[in-house]
Amino acid sequence: MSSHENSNVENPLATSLRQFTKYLVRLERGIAVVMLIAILCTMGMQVFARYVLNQPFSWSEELSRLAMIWMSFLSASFVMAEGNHIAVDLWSQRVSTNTSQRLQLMSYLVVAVSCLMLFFGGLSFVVKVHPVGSATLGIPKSYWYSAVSVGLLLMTFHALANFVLVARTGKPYSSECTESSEAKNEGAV
Amino acid sequence: MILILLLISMLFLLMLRIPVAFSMLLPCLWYVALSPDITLGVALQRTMAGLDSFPLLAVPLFMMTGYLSNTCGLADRMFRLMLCLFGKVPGSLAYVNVGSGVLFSWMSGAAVADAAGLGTVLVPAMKKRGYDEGFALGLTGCSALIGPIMPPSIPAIIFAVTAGVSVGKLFLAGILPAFLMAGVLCINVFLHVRKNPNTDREEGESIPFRKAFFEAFPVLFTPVIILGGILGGVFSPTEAAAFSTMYMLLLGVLYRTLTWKGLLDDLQRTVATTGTIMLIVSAAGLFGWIIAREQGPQAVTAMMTGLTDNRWVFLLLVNLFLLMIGTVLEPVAALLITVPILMPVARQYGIEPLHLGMVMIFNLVIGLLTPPVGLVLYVLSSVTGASVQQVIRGTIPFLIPLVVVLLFITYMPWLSTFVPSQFSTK
Repeated sequence: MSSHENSNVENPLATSLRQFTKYLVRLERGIAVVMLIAILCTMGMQVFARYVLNQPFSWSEELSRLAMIWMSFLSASFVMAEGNHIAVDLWSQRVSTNTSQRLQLMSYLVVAVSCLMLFFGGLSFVVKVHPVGSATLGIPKSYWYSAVSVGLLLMTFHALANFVLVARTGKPYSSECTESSEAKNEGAV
Repeated sequence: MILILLLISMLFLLMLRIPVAFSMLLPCLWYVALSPDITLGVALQRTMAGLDSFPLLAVPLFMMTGYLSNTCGLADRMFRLMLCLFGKVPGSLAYVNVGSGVLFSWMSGAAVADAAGLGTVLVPAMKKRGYDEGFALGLTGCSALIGPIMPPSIPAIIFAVTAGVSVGKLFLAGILPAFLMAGVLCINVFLHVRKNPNTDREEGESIPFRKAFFEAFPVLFTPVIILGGILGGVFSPTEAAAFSTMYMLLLGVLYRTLTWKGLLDDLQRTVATTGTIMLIVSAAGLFGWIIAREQGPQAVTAMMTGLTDNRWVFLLLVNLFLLMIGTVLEPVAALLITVPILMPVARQYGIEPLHLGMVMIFNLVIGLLTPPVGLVLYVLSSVTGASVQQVIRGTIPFLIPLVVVLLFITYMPWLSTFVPSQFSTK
């Protein structure tokens, strides 16, 4: 493992994993942005319908909630790939790189285990609620819950991909084009 | 007993640098898996239920408003208007800093957005006019904290949703505390300028007031949208959030400061931040449910009432506890963990939810300025180029006025409850 750490030549698995993660992250972020735009438009239309058309929509609130749930879990997935989830970083600077790397590997495992546990544990529930329609639109409730399930699977993938990347090359996936540096602390202390 | 085990394993995972959401989720999942009478399907249901809320929708929208106002360069316009108003006073730029903080707080609900916007404009300007760099950094950090107190406020939405109080009312509750904080900061500036009379003697170029006012006037209209909307019952906080986002877009187009790239960046930044917050919200949905199921609040109430009957002593303990939590946890995450426990206990002491909300939010927001984990410190350091150590050194003296404001908010409940009691919002 450690012989790979400083070499510039990555092994093919790591390279393709990085490449695939890059496209997946782009897709997740793209859909999430579309959802956000959809929420904005729906809310605007809701106010417009109520005051200008004098005919309030019954569906807009439910639809935007659904969009928000999908947006949240898709975003949580690419944030996971980029390692930007909020964590308490008390002493990573004070321990050796080796220990810090081991901690990181363990953190990926914890994420993957929790995600898979909730995914498989909840699967039968998602199937069970499929015939149940939502209050106003009648959208199957499973569309709601599957946002969580899909998000969990994606997060599992990203966690495991990062696990492999860190184990093989010492560095997790990171994209140069991320703008979300405000959301994470830079670990500068 | 089970609850203590749950909390300890959560703390343990947090210490191992596991993301907050998963530090909450894993122990909760084990609890559900080991309980004979519930299935993991319930866990999935609870994690989704935590997110399935219309008021919560205001979080990404107000976040977007904050990012957009930065991208559209609105901080610059407010800065120039404030410069006109305070230009002749000794220490003008420092007052401008606080004033811009107040104006900016109407456009953003998170301290990090304020810190980025104000820090970029004000810290270099203050340094150029001979202010001590530490003072400039510390003051900007404090001005940024007005953002999450003044409506709109992301922590207020989170508190309101978790505690089941009205978002609009909690927004109103923040107005007096925010102005009090601005006032205390101004006193601080006054004292600093008197002690160092040589700073900021040089007069800047004078901008005609009318020009600055007309430049900034459309920006000043945002509070009207947010407050007017919520107070007048024209629209809900969530719709107000969508409206203010669109208004920012409009301003960006009119001022010709918004580019496609800037817009795309802001959209991506918004979804990324939403992802980090909402994952914790959904984990907290499950966590809060377990706390209630295990009768956690009852246990804590019994413990607290055994300790003291006095609500002021209780509030003091709450303050100390939250200040400690705030040093390591980000406010939204901390609220989601502590509100399900503290809220029912506070009710036993006869503390109003709005009052408790303000106390909790203010405590946790102070934590944004304290090491080891203080997001505003990092943001200020990255936008100004000062080292984090320099920023910390600059903010330490400001902790005293912040604690003074905290004590006022804690021991004068009407600061939080007076404004909301004057209006009936839904």
